[in-house]
Amino acid sequence: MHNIAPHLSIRNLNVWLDAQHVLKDIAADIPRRCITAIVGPSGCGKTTLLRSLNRLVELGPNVRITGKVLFDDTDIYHPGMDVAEVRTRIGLLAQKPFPLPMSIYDNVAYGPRIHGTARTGLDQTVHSCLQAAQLWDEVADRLKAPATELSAGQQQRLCLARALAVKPDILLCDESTSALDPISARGIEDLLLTLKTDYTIVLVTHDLDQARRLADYVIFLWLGEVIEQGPAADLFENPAQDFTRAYLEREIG
Amino acid sequence: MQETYKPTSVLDSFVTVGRSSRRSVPWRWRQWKDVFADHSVRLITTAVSLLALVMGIALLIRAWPILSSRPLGELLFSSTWQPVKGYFGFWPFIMSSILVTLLAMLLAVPCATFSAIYLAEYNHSTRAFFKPVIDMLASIPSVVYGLWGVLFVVPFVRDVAGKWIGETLGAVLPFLANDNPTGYGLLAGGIVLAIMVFPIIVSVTEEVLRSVPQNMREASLALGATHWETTKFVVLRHALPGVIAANVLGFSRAFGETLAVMMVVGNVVQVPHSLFDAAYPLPALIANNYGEMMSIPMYDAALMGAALVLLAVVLVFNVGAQLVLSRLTGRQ
Ligand SMILES: Nc1ncnc2c1ncn2[C@@H]1O[C@H](COP(=O)(O)OP(=O)(O)OP(=O)(O)O)[C@@H](O)[C@H]1O
Ligand SMILES: [Mg+2]
Repeated sequence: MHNIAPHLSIRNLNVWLDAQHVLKDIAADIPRRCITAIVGPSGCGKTTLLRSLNRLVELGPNVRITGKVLFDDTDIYHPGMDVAEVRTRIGLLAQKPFPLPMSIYDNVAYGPRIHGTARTGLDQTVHSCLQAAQLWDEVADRLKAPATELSAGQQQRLCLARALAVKPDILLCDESTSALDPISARGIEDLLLTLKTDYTIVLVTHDLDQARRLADYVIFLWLGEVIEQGPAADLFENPAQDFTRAYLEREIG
Repeated sequence: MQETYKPTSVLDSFVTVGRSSRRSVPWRWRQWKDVFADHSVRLITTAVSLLALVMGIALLIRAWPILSSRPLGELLFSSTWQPVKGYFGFWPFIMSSILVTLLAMLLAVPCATFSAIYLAEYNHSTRAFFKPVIDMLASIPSVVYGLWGVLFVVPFVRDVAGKWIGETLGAVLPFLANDNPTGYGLLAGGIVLAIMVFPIIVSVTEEVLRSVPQNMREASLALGATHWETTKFVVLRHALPGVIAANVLGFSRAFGETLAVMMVVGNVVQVPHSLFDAAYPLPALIANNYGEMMSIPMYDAALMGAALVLLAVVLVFNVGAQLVLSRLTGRQ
């Protein structure tokens, strides 16, 4: 499946945050309709990499970015690019869920309303997205309640529903099951596996078991550099680098 | 070492019963300080609120002679103000105050809100220059604004705005008709007041907008919303209670402003019917007349009554705003 043209192609991407060289010469391909897991120790730049794939990273102060991210062969950092369009087609679930200051319903309806895609059937869209994010049963009777009343885990799923409602081509998930109990987490994992038929998914996770369960392709990041990348089976069973092996084994043991 | 200052849980105190005497001493001292802080904060707050009450009561007592000798309806809604003959109708002053304040807010609020949005959301680089300038504008004494109004705003109203608008639109719309050749009037007062409250509203609104978490903006942008959509639907919505509070502050400031308005508003006792008519707001009435002609019977009580009305309007407005705010924050 990896011989198809990649959906995202990262070329020589460098990111400096406040003069700190956070991402160093990243080169990687994100295969289409696969789950790609980005793994690595805390602080290695996973979130920064994910945020630079839909141009959120540039919102911070004193950010410098060089290199290219090709999305279906067009560079998303090209000056003529419509940033809102890039972010519509490449959705991101932030590491910390942040509900918008409105009701649960309006949170999910936000994307469709902004993009004018759901003049009719908005209720249906909200329903199906909340259902997909395994949240519907918990909020069905209080859709008009402020989203801030939800628990952290519920907020995480609300953000997932909200992102799905925009119907992006690529979904970037930053530790999207970190605040969930094992059963809900498995539910979300199952969802990602079903979504894979339509979406390209990039997943940041600390949970190597989760990466094993879900990933088709793995990128191993260390201090802002890609140490190793490849199909999940190869990387997990037969890491080419001793470094990767050490990381994997330390995690296991 | 940790044991001596760590707050004891119930379980801890059971476990360490044997040496409780040693650790309970610092703990009780801290508790005492906590209680003290609690009470002193409450005491100060109560004292300050009491002060407002005392002011109100003092005004009420001094205004009592006139309040008890005339029906309240006549005092508030009569347009006749002839102290020598014993007619005290506050209506011209109340209307002048309300109209000049409304006009000022109408001019200031949109400009101030958009300026604050620009500074907080759009232009971070020039903020370092504009923010101190605006804060400085907010602290310029009102007499300076008043002088500036006399020197520039009044001539502008007289020679430019009054002439053009009065001759064109004024022929059709009665509230734009101009039969006041001086330039001193509602429009001049409104403009000066608007310029005065503008920096206050900008400054507070900008702080409120900046306190909206960056992650909130990113959540919206990540869904493909544009910068403006994010500002409108997320930032302003989240900050709405604070933005309203900023405008209430501006309103109260404008409604009570005395000197700057007094210098340009004309001070003619009448209910203004046109933008260019002279007006006579409540604060100007009190400041202009208190201490003079005090031998006229009931004059002192009438001015106290005017002050009471002023206090009541600001109070009612603030309470109303508070209710709106609590409903808003309750809903979010
Ligand atoms: N605004 C910033 N200014 C300077 N350095 C930053 C900034 N944000 C992040 N960094 C640094 O960039 C590096 C990468 O951060 P990033 O959040 O991408 O790590 P991560 O791999 O996602 O970590 P985690 O697994 O803990 O979420 C860290 O060393 C961090 O200290
Ligand atoms: Mg992270």
